Amino acid sequence: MTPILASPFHARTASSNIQNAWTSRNGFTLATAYASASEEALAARTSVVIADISWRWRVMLQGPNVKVCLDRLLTRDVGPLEPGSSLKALWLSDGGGVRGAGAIARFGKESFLLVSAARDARWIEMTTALFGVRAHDITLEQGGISVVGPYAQHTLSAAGLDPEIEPLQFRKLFWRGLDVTLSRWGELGGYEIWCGAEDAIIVWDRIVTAGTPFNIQPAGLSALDVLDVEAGVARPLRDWMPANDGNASIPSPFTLKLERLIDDAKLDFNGRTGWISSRSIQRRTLIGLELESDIPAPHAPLFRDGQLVGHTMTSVYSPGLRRAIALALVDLDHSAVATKLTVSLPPSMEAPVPRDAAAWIGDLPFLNSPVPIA
Amino acid sequence: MNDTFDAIVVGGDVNGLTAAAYLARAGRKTLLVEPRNELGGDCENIAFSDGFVMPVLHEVHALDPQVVRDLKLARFGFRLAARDLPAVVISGAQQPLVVSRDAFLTSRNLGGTSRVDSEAWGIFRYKALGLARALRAMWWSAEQRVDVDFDQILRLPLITWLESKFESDALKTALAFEILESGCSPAEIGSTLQLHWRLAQEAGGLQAACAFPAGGPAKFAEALVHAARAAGVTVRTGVRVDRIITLGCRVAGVVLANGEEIFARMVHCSASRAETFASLLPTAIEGIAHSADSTVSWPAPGIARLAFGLDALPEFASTNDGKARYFIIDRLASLVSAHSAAQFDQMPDELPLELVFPSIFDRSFAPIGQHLMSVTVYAVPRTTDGSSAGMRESLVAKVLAAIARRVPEITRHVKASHVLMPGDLSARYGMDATMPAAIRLCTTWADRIMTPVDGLYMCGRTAEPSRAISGRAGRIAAEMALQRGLV
Repeated sequence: MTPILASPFHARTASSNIQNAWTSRNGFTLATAYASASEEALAARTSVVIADISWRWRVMLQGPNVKVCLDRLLTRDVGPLEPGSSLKALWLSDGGGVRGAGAIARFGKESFLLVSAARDARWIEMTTALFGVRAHDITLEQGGISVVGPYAQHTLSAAGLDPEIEPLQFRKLFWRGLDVTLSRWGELGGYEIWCGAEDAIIVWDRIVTAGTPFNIQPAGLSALDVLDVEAGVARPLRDWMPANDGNASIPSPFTLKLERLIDDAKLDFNGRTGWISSRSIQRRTLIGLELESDIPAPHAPLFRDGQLVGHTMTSVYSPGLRRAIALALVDLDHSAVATKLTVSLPPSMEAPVPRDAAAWIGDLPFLNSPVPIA
Repeated sequence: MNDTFDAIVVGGDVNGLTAAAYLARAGRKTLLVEPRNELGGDCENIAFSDGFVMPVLHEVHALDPQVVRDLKLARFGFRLAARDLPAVVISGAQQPLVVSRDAFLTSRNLGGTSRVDSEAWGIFRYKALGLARALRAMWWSAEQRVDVDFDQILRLPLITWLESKFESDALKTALAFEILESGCSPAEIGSTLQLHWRLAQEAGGLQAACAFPAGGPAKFAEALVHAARAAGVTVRTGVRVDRIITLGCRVAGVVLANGEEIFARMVHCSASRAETFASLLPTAIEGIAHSADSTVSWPAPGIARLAFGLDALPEFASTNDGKARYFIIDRLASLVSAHSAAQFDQMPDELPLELVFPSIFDRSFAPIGQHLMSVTVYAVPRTTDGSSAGMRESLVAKVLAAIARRVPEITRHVKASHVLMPGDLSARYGMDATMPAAIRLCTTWADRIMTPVDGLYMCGRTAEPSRAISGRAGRIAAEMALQRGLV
């Protein structure tokens, strides 16, 4: 049973959560939205937001065989990584189904950190045991915040942090008496600050104080989900079920449009044979949908000319596009951009009778992630 | 020196030799590599103490007749010294019970203890052998199509099945002994099917027979060596394979311990699957989930082999003139308890013993006027390695004490002894992987031979449905590889 965990930033998120709207992810109690998800998502595009990301699963992998272990585990080669850099990769089941996706960051010659939106502790334990690698889950030992928006760099500079760091890079810093790690592992164009759990409140206050001139506000999980969907990022457990069976071949990297995270030239990653065999038999693919509606339609069936052709995954209202959008899986034959589909909208207080809305397949990402202004 | 072959066979035991011979006969340039200086695996003879010779294995009952025929082993000196050894059960206070191929004689023998069993034996034997023959397709060919319903015998433990058939404990014990070599307990699900596997086998053209090759199983292996060389196999002994070369998930050859690389499109390995994947291949190449599963092992008892040089035959060996297999255990329940104890690493109070006197049908095993008593001790803790000298003496004493309970004078006649503990056997010939009988006997040949690594085939004893000298796994592995047409 997943324990109920409080984030190290809970004291601050609670005091800001005037709506008392909570949800949980990976066992952590997190604010759904502090004011409104749309306002917070929009603030991430116009000013700067601070978000609690302590729920992201992080496990440190260490030992003389860690490189060999990661060669087997991940779909990309970590060999060229220097300390301070990272890459995004997948790990597959024996049958080629996607079990997980995340960032792998090199801390030292025999030391890597795996960061992912969803836990896969049993698989990582099994794999590291085979190679004699130490796996240490540090999720509960640290807190993490994300600083996203055009004024993210200004905020960090005002707080005394040097924001000159490229995407997928990270640095360990001694920041005004605190040991922190500053990284850019996320998909939303921002920065992450990781600190010891006991230092979390200090870190939060410093960033909020530094960001006040730039109208910094806290963003809840719903706002992050909006930004994810706008960026075309599908997350495990939120949007798709990982391949939990050791031999599963679905979901395939092809279906989830994650083949860019597979190195074709790498011959020895787990599940490679299954992935290659399944490529030719995949029927569905990930697409982005713009709905002719303000009402999101999550996990709803999609039709074309009366025929069921797929279903939506996460669906949100995008303040940037001023309409509901969704990530969806549709049959390959119906996945071309500009294809018109029909989606069933869920009943609501305003519209208690179920009704359909038109939805058009659009290019992903819907919107590029906010770029920090230098 | 780097070289290229069509196929490399790692391991020169019976199955490795067979696989190599079949591949070479099919025109493939084949290399066989064996780490020991001797070929044949555990089909070897060990000389000890002034002219006595211990055959490491003292009988054959499952030689693949197709292998004997196809490779023309008779031309290379293979023949049987004893074709059909009956079973003699020496148990409790009863007279020894002889169970032989002659159903009438066996019925008459049973009449002394159980008229019911005496009347039932003939029909039982007829039906059991018939069903076993019908099940041969499952174990003798890669296609494995069987048209009989064997669900009942699959689900029933042997002791329960025998309980429903017979009264005589000695008779039930005789039948239960036939499955002990497989590591299976008579109380285990699948043990009745295990008995039917045993009854399905053939030796010297006789179904369910137990035979002794002239010169011992070592001569069978020797004939295979000659056949393999005659077919064109290149043989290298005293050479250890350090690892199997892989490109992604397919084999490309092997690297020897001296660093030499030899390339080939297929590699046949006669070690166990677990040992092969643990020692010769990159970690988790077969998949992380598969690798984690394979680290789970099924506890099974070990087997010890003893040989005693005697200056006279013991009295009980006069039954059938010594030309038999003698089973010694107090009763069936003791056999089951012994298996259970050894399975969980405890030395049983009473040891199930199988005795054979090879010197009676082949004089080469003992000096003139003397005899060799070859003993298989079933149900010994697998971890018994004899590293402490006391352990060997203790086992010898325990075995002799068990025989002496029936033949008090045996100790006087023992002139020499030699012991191979379970640890010795696995150190010399490799560990046998174990699996429950029900799974082992119903798994397909493809599942046992094929691997997730393209071009790698398991051809050794652990690819057989049951532990036995056979050659069948080697033949079928070669056939499967040739059918795939990689080379």
